[in-house]
Amino acid sequence: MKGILFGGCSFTWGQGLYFYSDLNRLVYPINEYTYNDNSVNDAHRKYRDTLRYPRLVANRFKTFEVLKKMNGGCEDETFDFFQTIFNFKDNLDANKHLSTERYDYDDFDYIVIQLSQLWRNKFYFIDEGVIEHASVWPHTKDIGWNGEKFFNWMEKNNMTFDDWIVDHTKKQIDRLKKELKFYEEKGIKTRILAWEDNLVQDILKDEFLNERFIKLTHNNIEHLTISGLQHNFPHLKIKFDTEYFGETPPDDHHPSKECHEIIAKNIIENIEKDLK
Amino acid sequence: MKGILFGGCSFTWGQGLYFYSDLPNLPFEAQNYGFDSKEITESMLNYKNSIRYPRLVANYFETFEVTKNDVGVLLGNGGSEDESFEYFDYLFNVEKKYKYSDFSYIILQLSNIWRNDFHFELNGVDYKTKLHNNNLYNHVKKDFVRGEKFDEYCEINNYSFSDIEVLHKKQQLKRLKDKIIFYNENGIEVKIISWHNDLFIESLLDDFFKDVFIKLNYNNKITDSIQGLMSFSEDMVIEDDLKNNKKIRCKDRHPSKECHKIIANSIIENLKK
Repeated sequence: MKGILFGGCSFTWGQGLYFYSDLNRLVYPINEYTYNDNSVNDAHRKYRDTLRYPRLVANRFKTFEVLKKMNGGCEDETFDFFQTIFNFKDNLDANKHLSTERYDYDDFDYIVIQLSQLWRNKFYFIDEGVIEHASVWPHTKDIGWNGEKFFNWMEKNNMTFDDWIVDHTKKQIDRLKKELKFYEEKGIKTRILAWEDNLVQDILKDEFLNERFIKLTHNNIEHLTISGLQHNFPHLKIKFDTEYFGETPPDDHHPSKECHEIIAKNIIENIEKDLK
Repeated sequence: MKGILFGGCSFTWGQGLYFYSDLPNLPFEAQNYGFDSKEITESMLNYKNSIRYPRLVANYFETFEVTKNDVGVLLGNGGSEDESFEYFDYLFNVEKKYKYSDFSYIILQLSNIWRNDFHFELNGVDYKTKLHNNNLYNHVKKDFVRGEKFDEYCEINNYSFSDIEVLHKKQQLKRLKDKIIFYNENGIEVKIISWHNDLFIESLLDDFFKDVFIKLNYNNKITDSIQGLMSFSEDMVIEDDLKNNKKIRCKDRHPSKECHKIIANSIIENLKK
């Protein structure tokens, strides 16, 4: 098999997996929502590589995995990352935070995308002839970047928040489908899995996306999302993995070592069906 | 286990392992031991890294491996113990990406002994030279081969070239021992595997090396060196393995995919003890 290209957020990056090592200088986070890049050194990163699900999948197929460098992100960064490695061969300084590596489409047999939180993706709108974008978190009512312009635009267009959610969701689904089709046409098979359920119902209703969606089965229970898996089996979050860490695990909600193994197993089984 | 640091030449780098991939543009026309880094893509580098023995050993122990980066004119390929120790020193003391405490083991694959510089002192000045110009540097010329000062040194000391070869082995063995002691003192256990058996045989005279050298086990046949493995079966060499088993022609005499597995298993069994 050729290489496997992975996209995703901190769940794919493997945040917190270094806590399973015997390495020195491990600094537990202040709380589960914080990440300090300065406290993670090269040895921690190398160790994390060995336990995260992309390596486990690649090992099974005796090939290599490629991921973006930076932690976190969403589909915006995932697709920017893909663009960077395939299209910026003459500009190695472009998007260095995503990758300094460059590839051809025929270097890969598979792309596996882990969807992050829908709300992390920028929402684009045209206001008075200018393309604007905003970051909007509906459940927390935390309107981030460009909130004022975004609300003005909603008012002008007589749009409710619920209308906006439908619009944003549709745009993300359309983008996802368009991107996957693009890479399929380049000869790379595509697969998706989800952390949260924002897009899942729309994915299941769409034949093309549904065929590429990987459900996560553990102990004979099928889960649609990593979040659902962790809800049913709390120890699959690092912060509840008391079997490994004892009574004081790091305050980190990211997938535990076992959770990465379960995700890898499900991806492997899905790909193996293709190979039969 | 903490990380494992690997040093070695093209055998450890995994030259030729990309021929086992399904990747496009593989350099099948490259000559034996010829290496043109321009022909090697990022994906070929990643592929060979995924099946070479350092990764296999690290995978077994669920930890990470560190080897020379795939950078520079030769993409980190090739070298000898001179470069391996220089690399370790760079890693810990110049680049400072890692600390000694990040590693449980160093695995050093000895290359061809003649690739290392011979050091001598003449009239209070330190010199170094290669003893054999055996084209082992992938066409990269470095240092000179013997020369006037060397001849003068031999004449003054009444050394024949055979004497110098013996001295060189002693130098190499001493350096090896000193380095092992140094890394041991810094909390890293050092193990050694060998491509050729020159230093392996020398080391048998010294009890110190008894637990350091790892012998290689091929179907219960034991050998001191990768060269020995290659004499057991044609499948241990990329060129023969691909010709016999996949009907693919390439002129690469480096360890095959299976050979890397056997090296890895031998190291794993040793470390498990």
